[in-house]
Amino acid sequence: MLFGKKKTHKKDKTGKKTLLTDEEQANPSDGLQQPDYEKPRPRGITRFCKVRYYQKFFNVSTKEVVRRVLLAMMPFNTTPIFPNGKPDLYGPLWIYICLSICIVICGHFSNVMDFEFIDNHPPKLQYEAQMRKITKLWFMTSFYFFVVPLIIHGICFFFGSGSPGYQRTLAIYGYSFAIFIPATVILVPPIEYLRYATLGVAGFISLLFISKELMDAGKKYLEQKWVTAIAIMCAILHIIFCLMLKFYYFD
Amino acid sequence: MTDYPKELDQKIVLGNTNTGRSNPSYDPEKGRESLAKEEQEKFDTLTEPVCETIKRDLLMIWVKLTYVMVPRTMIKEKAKQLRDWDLWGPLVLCLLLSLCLSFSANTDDGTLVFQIVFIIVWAGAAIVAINGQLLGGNISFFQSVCVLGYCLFPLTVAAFVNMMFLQFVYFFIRVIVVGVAFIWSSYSSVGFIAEMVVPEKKGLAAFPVFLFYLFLSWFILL
Repeated sequence: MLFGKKKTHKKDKTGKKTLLTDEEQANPSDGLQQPDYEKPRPRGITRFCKVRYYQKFFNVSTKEVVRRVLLAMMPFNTTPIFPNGKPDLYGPLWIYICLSICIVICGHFSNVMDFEFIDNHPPKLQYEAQMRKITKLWFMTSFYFFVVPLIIHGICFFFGSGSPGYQRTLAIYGYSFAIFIPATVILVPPIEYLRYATLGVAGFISLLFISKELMDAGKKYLEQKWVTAIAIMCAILHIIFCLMLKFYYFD
Repeated sequence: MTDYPKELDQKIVLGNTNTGRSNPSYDPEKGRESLAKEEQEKFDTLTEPVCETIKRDLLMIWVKLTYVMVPRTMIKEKAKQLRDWDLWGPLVLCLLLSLCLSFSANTDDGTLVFQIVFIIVWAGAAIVAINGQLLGGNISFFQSVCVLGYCLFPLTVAAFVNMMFLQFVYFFIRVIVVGVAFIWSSYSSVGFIAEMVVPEKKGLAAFPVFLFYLFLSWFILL
């Protein structure tokens, strides 16, 4: 799949190779062949290096992803976000990238607006300082998206009777940050109370979504004290995230 | 040094006895697929003058650029053209974009800006191409990178215009120019990228492309 070579042979169901006719070679039937994720999965130690191993996590349609993101932004009913119990990783991955990009862009715009409307100094663009900020941002979002779900999964696995799985916690945590993308856009105007209110609401909705999704898993696998410990940890981490957004990037 | 006769020279290079063959006609419009299989094997660039090779490569880049930039209704034609991928066009456009942006930045940060833009273009194109493959797409990795690279052309033009003419003009006009370039780039590339996945996943494949060009547009506006 890397170089896009022209196919000259085809395999039938028994695996026998036959030469493609000239017509078939000239007009390859794209999209009508068996999609890659329905072919037999790769096996062996090198399976993590193959794209086909990860394709099963990306098996969603546009409508489904939009539905999940909207549900994550407004978790006010009891519909579960993953109806078949199969989480996807497309949503969390692109929410992570989109959130990083939005924070960088909106942070820059809010600095520009602060200078123009409050200080009346022309903004001096220092790339070194910006790059340091962007690196710290990257570390922070990576921590929230990849390490915190791993901690939750680890606690369930080692101190409980089972675990909902790293993939599930990763997906839930990823979708919970979807509300912060419109929040960063609203954070741009230099109005202090609006910024605090937006961050408060966003953090609250995010925590509500996480608790809604992980509550029954927590009750199933863990004792009460561990559930409260995880809840307190998540709340504190979200508060730290909101404060970092406010004071470091949108100052 | 004995001078080999011309026919023997060709024999040595081409490795066959049929030296009466003239230079096979390579039509960049149709690509390598138009040559018969025999001609493809004998088609080599060792015996032709260097300026002909360069002219042919430049023509190939120009043909691809016009195919990608001018909106055409027949998507199938475009898809056939781009099966013949090459990375010269994307490299040239990326270098031009990085140079324009590094000239319009402060002199201290010129190299840093160049590095950042260069890395973002190639890493971003790679991520979008891998995303397309993960969604079950059926064009190869290098074909996606080729398409995304060629669709950088409007943004390169906008960066150039920005650097030469618009340095001291209102921010609003720069936003409009870069905005138009961004919409043109996204529209050109979304047509290809969406074609390579199943219709239900078109939006999923197109969204990263949109993000990639948005980030580059913001960089031009900085």
